[in-house]
Amino acid sequence: MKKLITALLMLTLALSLTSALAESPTTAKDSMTIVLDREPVSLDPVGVYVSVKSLVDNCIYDTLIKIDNDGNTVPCLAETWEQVDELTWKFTLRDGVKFHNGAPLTTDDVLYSLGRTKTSSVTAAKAAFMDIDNSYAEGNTIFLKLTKPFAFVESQLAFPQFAIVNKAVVEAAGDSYGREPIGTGPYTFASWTAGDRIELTRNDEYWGSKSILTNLTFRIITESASRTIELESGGVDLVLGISSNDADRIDENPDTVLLTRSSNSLRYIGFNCSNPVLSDVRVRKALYHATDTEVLREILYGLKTSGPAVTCLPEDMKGLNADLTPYSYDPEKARELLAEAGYADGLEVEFMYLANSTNNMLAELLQALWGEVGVTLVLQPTESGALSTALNKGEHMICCAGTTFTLGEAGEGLNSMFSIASQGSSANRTYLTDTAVDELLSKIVVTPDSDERAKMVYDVQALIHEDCPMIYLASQYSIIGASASLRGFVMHPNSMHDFTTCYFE
Amino acid sequence: MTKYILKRLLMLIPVMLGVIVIVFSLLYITPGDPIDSLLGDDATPEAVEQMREQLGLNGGYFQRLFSYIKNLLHGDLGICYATKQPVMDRLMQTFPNSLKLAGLAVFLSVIIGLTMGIISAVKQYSIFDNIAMALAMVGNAMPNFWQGLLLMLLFALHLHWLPATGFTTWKHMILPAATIGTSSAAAIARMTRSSMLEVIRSDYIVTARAKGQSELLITVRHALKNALIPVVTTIGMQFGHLLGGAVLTESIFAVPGVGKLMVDAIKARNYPVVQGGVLMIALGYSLVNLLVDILYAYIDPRIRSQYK
Repeated sequence: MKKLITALLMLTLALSLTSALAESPTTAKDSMTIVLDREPVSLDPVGVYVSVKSLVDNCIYDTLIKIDNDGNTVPCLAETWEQVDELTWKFTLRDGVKFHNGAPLTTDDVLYSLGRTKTSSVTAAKAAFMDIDNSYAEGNTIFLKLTKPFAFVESQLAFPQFAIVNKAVVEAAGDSYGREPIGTGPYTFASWTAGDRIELTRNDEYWGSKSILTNLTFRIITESASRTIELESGGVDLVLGISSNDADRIDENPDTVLLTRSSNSLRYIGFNCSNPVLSDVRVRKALYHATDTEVLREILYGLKTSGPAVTCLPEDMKGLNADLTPYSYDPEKARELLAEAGYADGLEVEFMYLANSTNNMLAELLQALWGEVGVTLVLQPTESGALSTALNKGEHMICCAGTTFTLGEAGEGLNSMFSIASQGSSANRTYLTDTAVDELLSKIVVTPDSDERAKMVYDVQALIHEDCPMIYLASQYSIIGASASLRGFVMHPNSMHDFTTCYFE
Repeated sequence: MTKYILKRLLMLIPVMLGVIVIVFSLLYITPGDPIDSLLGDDATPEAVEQMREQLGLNGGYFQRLFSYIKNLLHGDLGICYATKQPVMDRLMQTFPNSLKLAGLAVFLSVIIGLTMGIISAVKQYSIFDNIAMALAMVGNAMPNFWQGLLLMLLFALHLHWLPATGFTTWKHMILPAATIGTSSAAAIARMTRSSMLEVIRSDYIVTARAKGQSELLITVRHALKNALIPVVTTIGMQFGHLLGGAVLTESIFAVPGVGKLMVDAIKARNYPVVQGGVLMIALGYSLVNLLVDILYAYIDPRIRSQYK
């Protein structure tokens, strides 16, 4: 009898626990409007990476592996995975996953999706580590072959450009696929009004935790002041890309909340080390000593909405070498170094930057600061299209730039910024040619052991710091404004926010 | 009259050709490469070359210009580099929004501008006249982006009467239309006032008064009709101008119009969209001007006799 009562009690407890777990919070409203600061061009995963596109892609598609809010890799479409040998990874797919059109997820779709990243002109370089021709499936398991040892397989596969698509749908849709995407993610694509909004609805057949809210609307508002007013007036619920000028207003308003998180982004002034004048490290260091970076950060990026940058890695990034001492603001030292380099009588340098209010202010402040040590700064404010082309060709002398460590991997980011092979890409604006740095970086990208890699990342920062190819301005934060009634939203370290847990009180 | 209209329509051909050549040449010499935004920074040189070939960007100036004109003669404005949709489709998605916005703005500005101008002329140097002309001056001088934000702060944020941004319901249209309509209303008010003042001093108005006609009848039937020619010209010009998309206003109020489309296209060096957009705006402007000229004939029969 006792046993029966115990069993009944256990059953009751289990049932009540199950129902408690299944119960989702009640929400005051069923839909959420999120504001993007620009419009994605396409929602095909293999399109050009833009943060707003990846955010929407992340709602529609799943990847094999995901990065959680703490920056750890967690299962997604692959339930388990392991590295079999140096050139082979094994992924076991989750059972019962369906695309939004009802088709089941197959290993064929996965191999096709990964293969697309290799054939797309946009992603081919990122996907070069995969040997799709020799990769194969056995039952529900995929054996992914690599072309060479590669340290960042997991984080790269977790990136939205490596999301899994339905082979039949993509092939049937052709060029129009990017405007009518189908994935396995928590939301299905509903509509896209060009220049205005993208609407998604909850995927009720989703294999994972279903979204509490039924509808998500992404509205495109390019004007920063309008985004803030729209949030304050209650027209939208979440605004990505709040200007640091508006941060205090959002923070002080009782109806809105300001959310910030280090966004793996670094803002810097880059020296083109291949330029005859700037190839002298003494000139680069002199200009660094002539720059009061703390004052610039406070004025330009705000102390509340940015963090200090002491190395070429953003604040809070795993692998940051905190033992490095930043170059101090020391005009006297700057003059000495310039005199040593043969510029005692003055020097003229050019500064190319995207013409916007923050950069215009930076340019004027730099002009004043460097003028004190006898450096004349010629300003070259440039429009975005022309700037990107000029910087990619290395036509600049000094530029203002930023970089985001999109994979959240220090080694991968540093390799993109400072390896000789990356010169001419958007991440490398310094054209630094240092064989010691290059060798260490090439070792980092093939070292699978994260501890060993961290040691090398630590060392390479010291070498780069000594080369002084850039002035670190700030670790930029991701700044989000939200309605005070929004609950359940957690900022993702790589800005791949998950909206399934969001609801309203 | 029909002959005149046909003649004017034929004259559109060299105008459009001029627009095509000028815009094409400007885009050709502008620094920046569409491939940068199309393929991102990780693209291999082979992929860049292949895309360049695919988009026909490898040819010389004349080759590309003639190829564009040839396609245009077949009604093909090209393919949008970004979305791979025909440019015509992209323009047709946005042009109706710009048209609605311009239409409402002109409607509001005509009502307000005409009323203000007529009363100011009739009651010259009165308090109303002084206030109205001061307001018209302010309306003309206020930058659109500043005025737009002020209206948004007042009506959306503080009073909660109207939505701040978007373009889905009639309520969404009021603030952007008021923003761009203000300067048009000011221009129309000033033009109506000066034109009316000139007319109401004419001898035939004195005669009408001597005959004992009411002031209202004199103002509306005799004075206004003759004062309308320069006013209609102003209205036509304002409408043509607004058709081109009030770029700043569209950005501030997140209106998916042709102006915003073109700004985005210019930034991405999306040449076919820019060319197609300018062509459409130029055509719209020219047609509105033609319409104004035709309207003259209906307002003033003396002009009709000159249309041969």
